[in-house]
Amino acid sequence: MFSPISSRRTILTALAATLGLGFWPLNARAFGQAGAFRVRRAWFGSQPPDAARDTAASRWAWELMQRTSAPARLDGCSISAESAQLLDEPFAIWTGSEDPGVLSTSKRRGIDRFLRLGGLLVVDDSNPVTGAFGRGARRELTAVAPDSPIQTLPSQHVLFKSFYILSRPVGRYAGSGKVDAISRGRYAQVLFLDCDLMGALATQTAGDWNFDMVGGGARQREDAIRLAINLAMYLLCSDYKDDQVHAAWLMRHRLQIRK
Amino acid sequence: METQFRINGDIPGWLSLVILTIVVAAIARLVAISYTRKASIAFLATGAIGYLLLSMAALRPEKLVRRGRAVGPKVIVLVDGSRRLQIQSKESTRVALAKSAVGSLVQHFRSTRVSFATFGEGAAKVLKSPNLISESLGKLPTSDLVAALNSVMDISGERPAAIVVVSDGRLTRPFSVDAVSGASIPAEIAGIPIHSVDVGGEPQPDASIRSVDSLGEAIAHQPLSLKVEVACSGGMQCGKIPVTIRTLERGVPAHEISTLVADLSNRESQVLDFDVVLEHSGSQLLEVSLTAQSGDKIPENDTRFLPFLVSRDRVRLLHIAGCPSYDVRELRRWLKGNAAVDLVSFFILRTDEDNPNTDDNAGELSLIPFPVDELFSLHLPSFDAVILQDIDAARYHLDIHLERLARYVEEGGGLILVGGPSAFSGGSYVHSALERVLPTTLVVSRNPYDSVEFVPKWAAAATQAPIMGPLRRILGDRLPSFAGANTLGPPKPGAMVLWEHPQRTFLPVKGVAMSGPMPVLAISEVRDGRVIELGLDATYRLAWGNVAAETSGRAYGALWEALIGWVMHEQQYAPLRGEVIGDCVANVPLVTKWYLPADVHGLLNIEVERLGQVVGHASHHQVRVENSRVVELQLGALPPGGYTAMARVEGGAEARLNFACELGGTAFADSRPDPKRMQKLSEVSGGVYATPPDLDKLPLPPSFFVDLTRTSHPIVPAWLWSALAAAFLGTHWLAARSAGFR
Repeated sequence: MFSPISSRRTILTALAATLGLGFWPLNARAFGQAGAFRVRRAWFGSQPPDAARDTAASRWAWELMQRTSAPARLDGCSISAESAQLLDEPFAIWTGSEDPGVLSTSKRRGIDRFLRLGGLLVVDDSNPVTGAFGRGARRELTAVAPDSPIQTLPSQHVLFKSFYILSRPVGRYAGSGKVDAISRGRYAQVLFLDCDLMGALATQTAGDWNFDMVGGGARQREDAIRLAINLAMYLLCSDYKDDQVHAAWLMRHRLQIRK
Repeated sequence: METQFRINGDIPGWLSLVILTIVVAAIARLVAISYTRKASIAFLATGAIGYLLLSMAALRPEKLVRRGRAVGPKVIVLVDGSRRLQIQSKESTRVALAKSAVGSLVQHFRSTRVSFATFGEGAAKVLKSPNLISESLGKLPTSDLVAALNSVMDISGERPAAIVVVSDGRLTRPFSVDAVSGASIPAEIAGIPIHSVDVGGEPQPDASIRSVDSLGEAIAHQPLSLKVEVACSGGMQCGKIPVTIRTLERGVPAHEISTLVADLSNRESQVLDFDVVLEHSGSQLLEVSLTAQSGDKIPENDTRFLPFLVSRDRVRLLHIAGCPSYDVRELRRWLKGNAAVDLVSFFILRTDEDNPNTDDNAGELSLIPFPVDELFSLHLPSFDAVILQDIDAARYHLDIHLERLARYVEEGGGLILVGGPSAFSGGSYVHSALERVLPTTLVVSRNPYDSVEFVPKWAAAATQAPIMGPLRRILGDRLPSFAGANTLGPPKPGAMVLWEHPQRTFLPVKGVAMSGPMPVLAISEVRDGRVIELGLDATYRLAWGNVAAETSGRAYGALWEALIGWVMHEQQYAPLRGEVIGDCVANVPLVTKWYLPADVHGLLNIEVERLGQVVGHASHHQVRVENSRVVELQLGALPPGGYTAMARVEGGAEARLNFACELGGTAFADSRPDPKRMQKLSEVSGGVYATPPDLDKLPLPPSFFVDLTRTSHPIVPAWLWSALAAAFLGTHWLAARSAGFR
């Protein structure tokens, strides 16, 4: 069973980590850190990523390090679709609350190259109530990958068991309870969330959460963190948890739990 | 000189026949008239003589005087050159019998123009003199008579009058008595009698591995069906005979993989069906042997060595990573995307210090325990190679299995160690059992890794190494920069460094005086296995970043395809290639040929080791190569067994050639002579079957006369024939008139 993460010790540790970011050399890539998970906020549309959710990147990385063996970098960054650095690492998350507008050809080309190299792009709608960003992002990314239609991931998809066993995706909002994706080859490469995941992870410098959960409390926030962990693990391990050795063990384990 | 009488040569044969027919008819008519009219004898005699003289005047017979000599017919003697003829007969070998038979045939066919040739593989080889037969017999692996007969017209130059085959009848072709027919005799020599001389002698008591049904190719990890025919012949009484198959590997005793028992109590032969599984890919040798039987006169065929080229439909890889990272991600995605790889992965996703904020038994985690003991105790041999990526051996209890992992490598497994903070000296591998199979010496260091961004330098040997060829074809001399490197020690003798650190030198090691650039990527062969050390944790930068943008990420696949291919002994990554010329016959000097890449200079060292023995050193050979593409090298005479020749041009990687030297081999497998096949061969061709004692019964083909000069003279001048004919016919006319004929 989960315990609320807002214990004093945890909050202080998170605070220290967040404050530590200010001293973190942005280009430092120590041995063991070069291949560590890092949240890069994509600046694909006309508007820059909202600053209120900037801290979510380091919180996400911190949670990953606390809960799993995966190394992560607390120094999140934002990245443009036209920047050559988009191709430096395989992960980016694109957030927004309004229609991003029509992407230029050079941006579309940059996103296409990122996806062709095997990158994972998460599209996180910060305002799923209106859904304007989600619709706009779908429109633009469908244009980038016209041959790959958007499809809803089945509940058995490895994303829902890459670390935690999840029944549905939630963020700050409960959302539709499903994840849509553009898949190329065997992997989902663009994931569409309509639950404001970054909003659920964003913290204030004092260690408090930046946004309240909509329709849920600490349990929903914990589920949002678990979704973030699973997203990172899906990125790092791809379909590892779909391997036969795991499938057999998980089936046995589930049976034992039911008994 | 030879004298003949004949009708004048300018008169056609048909005309001669017509004239003689008319004369005979005319004389018959005279006889009839004389009889019916009771004419005088003078009437009949003068008429008949007149007609004959008249015909002689027309035919003008002449005397032909031929001066020349009689020439013997062409005879070809084909002697079986197979090593099988070295098999012992009752008192001598079949080779000795064949030599004796050749001597007798020389005498028997002394009036003919006899040529001797040996047969075995391909066309028959003519001997300049029958005295050279001793040097030519008992050398060839097969007895292909059909190929030899096809070459008879080529080696003879004329159609021979007879062919004599000297053999024991156990021919490779025709392969059985039933296969011997008119069709097995080439059309161009059809009608020529083929005599056979059987030198098989008495069959000797022999328990043997008569045949092994093998194509010499196998798929790793998949059952291979081997049919082994075991036989007892020559009057030998056998009961139950155990037959064992062993693998022969370098530096370890022969390892038994299967044993079956042949029951020959009531039969001459039995086919045993073995199901064996070969775990390692590449060239492998199997030894098939039967338990020695008392009374066996031909022990050379009790053991056979079978070379196998073991390939795999898919490479079975075990990928273990200490933590998920972009480097782990990229490698897994590449391996999973490779249809030739069957991947089993285990990643440590959570350590004891991590707090997932849930109870392990709550069923909210999808984690499974790392089955380290099960993996390394039970399943390790089923993998072709193991990749250990940035995993701490002590922390995850791998350390107790490192000895087993080292043995797995020595027995032919592949191992790739990928760097990271918990790899090499940072992961409790220093002074472990695994260290003995690594390409570098691990060193205890306060800094098991550094974090200085650097671009590795190509080592000199890497520019020629086929393993780096695919990557160099894409990137040329460039490499991306990497964020730090593991601290690696000096390369061990025999290891090959491919990438070096541009600034760091390896730490001094006790007893090793040298110093040099620190290896970043190094490879080495350990007995039958191969190991790669990669002291980096960011090869994913070949798939991401500027380099990847320019090459569409192909450089990453090129590197890993070659690393995996090299570990799996794929031939394309071998630095040179060797082959045995002909068959390796035990105790007979062996010649090998080595194919080298261009621009290779230096000493080619070849170490020959016997397989299936702990200490297998057999011999060492050295030759200087200066841009030679092909080198022939004699490796001396070797006793029977399996061997590996390890070749290396100084500073380069090692290439291996596995081969077996057999006493008997295929030639000795079936020791029984086959007189029926010889008899049938003669029967279908109109020849005669004989054994050495009764060679006199071989028919001598008739000689023929060759003219040097020919002169012809008329027996009587033509005018005299005419005059005499006129006189007799005139007298006949008078006799007729006096007898009252009108």
